[in-house]
Amino acid sequence: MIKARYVINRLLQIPISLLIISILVFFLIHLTPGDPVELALPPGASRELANQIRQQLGLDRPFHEQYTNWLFNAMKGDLGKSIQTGEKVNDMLIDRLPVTVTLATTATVISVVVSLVGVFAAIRFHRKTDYVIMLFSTIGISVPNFFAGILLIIFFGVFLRILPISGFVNPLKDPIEGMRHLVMPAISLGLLYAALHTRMVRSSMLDILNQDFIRTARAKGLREYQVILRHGLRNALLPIVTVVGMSYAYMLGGSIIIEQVFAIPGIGRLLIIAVTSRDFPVIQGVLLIVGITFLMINFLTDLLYGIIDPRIKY
Amino acid sequence: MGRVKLLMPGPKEFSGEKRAIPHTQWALFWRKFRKIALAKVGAITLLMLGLCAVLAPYLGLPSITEMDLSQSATPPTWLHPLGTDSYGRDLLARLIYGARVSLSVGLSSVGLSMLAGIPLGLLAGYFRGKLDSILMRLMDAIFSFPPILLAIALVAILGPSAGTVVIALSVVYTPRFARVVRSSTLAESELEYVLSARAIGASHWRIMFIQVLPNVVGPITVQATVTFAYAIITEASLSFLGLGVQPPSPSWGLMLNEARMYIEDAPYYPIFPGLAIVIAVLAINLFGDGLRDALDPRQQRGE
Amino acid sequence: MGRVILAILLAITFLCCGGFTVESAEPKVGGRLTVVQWEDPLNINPMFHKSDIAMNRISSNVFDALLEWDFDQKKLVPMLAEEWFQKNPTTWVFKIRKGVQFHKGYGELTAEDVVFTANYILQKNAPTKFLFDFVKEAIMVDKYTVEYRLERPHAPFLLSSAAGIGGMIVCKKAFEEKGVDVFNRNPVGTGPFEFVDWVPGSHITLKRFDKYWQKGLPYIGTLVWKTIPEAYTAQTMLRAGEIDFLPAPNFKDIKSLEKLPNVEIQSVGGANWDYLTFDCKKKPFDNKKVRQAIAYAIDRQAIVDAVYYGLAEADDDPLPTGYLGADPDVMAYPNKANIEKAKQLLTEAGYPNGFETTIITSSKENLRRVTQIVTEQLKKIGVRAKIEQLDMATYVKRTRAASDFEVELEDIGIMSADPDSAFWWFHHSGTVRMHGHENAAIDAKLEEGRSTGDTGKRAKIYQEVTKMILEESPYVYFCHVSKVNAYTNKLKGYKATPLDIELKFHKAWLDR
Repeated sequence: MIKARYVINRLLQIPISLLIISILVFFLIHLTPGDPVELALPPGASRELANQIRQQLGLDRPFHEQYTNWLFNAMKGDLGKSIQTGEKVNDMLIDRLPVTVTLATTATVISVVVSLVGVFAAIRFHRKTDYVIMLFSTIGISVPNFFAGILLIIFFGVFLRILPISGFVNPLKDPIEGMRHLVMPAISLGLLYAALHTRMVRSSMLDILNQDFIRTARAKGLREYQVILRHGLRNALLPIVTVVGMSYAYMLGGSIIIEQVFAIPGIGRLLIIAVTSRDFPVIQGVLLIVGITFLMINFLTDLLYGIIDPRIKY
Repeated sequence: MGRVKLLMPGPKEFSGEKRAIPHTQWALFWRKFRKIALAKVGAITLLMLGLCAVLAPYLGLPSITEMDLSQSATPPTWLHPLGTDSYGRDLLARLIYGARVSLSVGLSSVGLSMLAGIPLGLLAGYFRGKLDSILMRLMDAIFSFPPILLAIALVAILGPSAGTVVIALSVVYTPRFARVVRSSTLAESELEYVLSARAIGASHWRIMFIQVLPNVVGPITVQATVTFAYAIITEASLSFLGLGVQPPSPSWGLMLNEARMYIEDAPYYPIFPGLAIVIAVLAINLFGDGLRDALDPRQQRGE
Repeated sequence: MGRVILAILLAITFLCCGGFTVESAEPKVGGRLTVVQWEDPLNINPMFHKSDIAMNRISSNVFDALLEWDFDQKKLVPMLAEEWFQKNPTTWVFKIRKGVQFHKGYGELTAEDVVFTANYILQKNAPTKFLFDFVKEAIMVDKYTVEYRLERPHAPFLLSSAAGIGGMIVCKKAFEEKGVDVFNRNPVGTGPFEFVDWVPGSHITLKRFDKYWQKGLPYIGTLVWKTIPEAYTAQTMLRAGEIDFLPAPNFKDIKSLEKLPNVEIQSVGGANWDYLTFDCKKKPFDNKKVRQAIAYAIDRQAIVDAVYYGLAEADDDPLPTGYLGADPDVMAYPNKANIEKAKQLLTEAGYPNGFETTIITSSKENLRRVTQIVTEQLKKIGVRAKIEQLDMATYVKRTRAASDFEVELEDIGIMSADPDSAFWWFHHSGTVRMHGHENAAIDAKLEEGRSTGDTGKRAKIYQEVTKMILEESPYVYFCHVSKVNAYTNKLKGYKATPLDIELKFHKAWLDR
């Protein structure tokens, strides 16, 4: 059972962690060589113009002042404006976050659906099916996601020419085109996790199948599939639920690479572009959102785990 | 034989043994063979890669830096068994040299993270209390952050290079070792021999490093192989993004990035560096799986 | 007799077939053209010009300038301004065309908008200000007349501030109504295409403006600018017909693209250059002979062939053919290298065994290849260079904010059709791209070029400046890279200009 105190405790830790993350990020980024203002100006611009703009943007103030300014604004919900484009960081995030979320969600769904194969592997333990599935899963964790993407592009995009090799279409607005653009990126992103989850499902299923209550069920005379489905499966999948949360969080990181390969306008690409142009406000904003997402996912995962597993007491 | 239904654990195996008793000769043979075969395949491949890496300069390979732009991305021929890269250099030679980069970055990262993570884990698991809390809080913070993001951030600050990648990866993977060592240490320090050592008056350091550590080697080794595999993939990813090893150094990830332009005209070109990565990582994983099986005490019984 | 009849029949047949193969000269209105851009523009507002090709290209379709430089006729033609003349050496008067409409019902363009645009740039330090050197202010004389007051006579004024990006006029009412942030993402101008929407990271849509002041134009119905960061992706899409217009495909792919039946390739000499420059304050580059030696050692033709597959003009000076003052006979350094002369110069300078140095370059793929070739070439005279390839941000910092390099290799797209823009910001003391090479004589000549109005005199001046720069060799120029466009053969009537920043579709149409 979960005590309310524990929940509140964890919830309170989130803003503190966020604060620490944002301070670290802020200082780290400002230590990076490279000047966003120079990068944002045409080649003919004079040093005076550059200095003027720097002043206008407040980039010449000392670190702590810049940070506290940013922090106050952030708490009001204003994440500032991009140095490169002048756009509001909030707007940029709102535009791009749903794209990455769509990608990560689709990839997660794929990985969970595929992982059910692990059940068969467990049932046919140490038989051919099991070995084949395990071999595929080992290959799955050995292929880097960008290579999987490139292979898919070569096969479906260039060779067969049946799928588009770049871009993103909102599946809610145009389901067919949206799905066509999502298929390859989602598979590339989800491959690793499909393999990992398969192993986990198999292992968890094996554990369950060897437990007493299963033998009891069998002794009762229930048919095999009933034993598996009703008693085994549900319990076996519980640990997976909590792992999926972590995988989702990791996928947000993996999507950075996939978004590059498939030119998908999500948060990952935004981050790379911002890092290349030293666009501090954008970098801060993205990492803040990402940080919040993780902390929330971790928190919910822990909570979920506590609810599901009656043995854990907080 | 007919379809054999789910194999039930035999009467002796009550304690969560996963081993099933094979019912056919074929199954028996197959299981033994598999255990030897796959892990050995992995080990041998790794060995070959290692040899490539070490012996590369002595193999009489064509130059990997001299360019000949008229021979950009040519198909495989006798002279160039895998063709040439976008600058006209022999692809096979670059892949072999690439093994050096991948393996050295991977091993250094694993080594450094072990160097940092093992002591941290020992301290946390042994002394517990506040120290444990603080250390683990820190480790968890790093651990729950996607490695790629952390690595990119560090690389952005320190500037992209092989060295930076090693540092970034070491930071990212330290928590893994810390956690593994900590849980093993927690378990071990309840055992008799530790308690008696303390009763005798042995110093904490002595106990930790001389008594506990050797017993924790198993999980550490397993973790090391897993981490090695991840390190190679992450280094390739960073180099692919241009944030890792810089040209003209031959990193497999970098070569894959250079090859992207040729997907239309020379689709085989991107496949080779990618395949190199897959083979290396697969070898490590197969070997690691075998290692894990061998080291798992539960599975040594009931054979 | 039979032969004559046969001949006539053949002739008629030829004429008929010839007649059919002549392009149907009637432009068709409508259709949708998808153009590729490598990245999203930062914004769409010519007042905020940055080193942002995407923004400039879209702007050239959404906005008009006062004047336009016709590269063929080599003169300025009227656009939003019907007439222009100098009232006195420091005052230019423009008569604005009547009846020009803004997009989206924002009314007629008047002198108010012109004055607003110019003064905003000047007073708010908008990035485009560097094209407004010596402009003091713009004054509205009456509803259709504007006066630009300059601080001193400045010859490049027309080409920098009245034509091209500098001369584009934004809608005052829309700008004030929406505010700068919204306007920059939802612009209103008088150009042939009006803005429809912008999906960040994906595409920008423009549509035909039916009230465009050039009656009948434009023809294309919808213009979509799609963001595709990788050239190979764009190429695949071009082959598949998913996109229609690919500016600057990878040079290596142009041959195979030419073979495609549905693709046309158009190539035009580019107003740009690839070059390397030195920090002339650091040894050994403070010695003119060393710089000259390097200029002699470069095999420019090899670069053109290997990196650009012949689609570039090898040249040792900054002026592309066709620019005022360009003189193809002035050739100080041969296109094929002169190694002996280079070695001799190095020995005279005191480096008979060469020396070591570091060349830095940015992340641009073509430049990386050029750098590697150049490094190989320099080895022949004993100059052993290490290559440092930096990401854009670090590169800009080390070369512009501070002179933290020995040798840098870069490319530049020239901003306007005026030769001054090819010299001033790179060779005049005090500018950001001039690295340690202060030369009073060159400064004086450049200033003369700016203040002289007479075209003939200016041509001479720039010829002399070129000679001086070649002699001093602070910049070693390699070539002018051609602008190559690959597009569907359904697109007719499109004419490219040498400037990298322009991609205007007002006269093009789709044969559907």
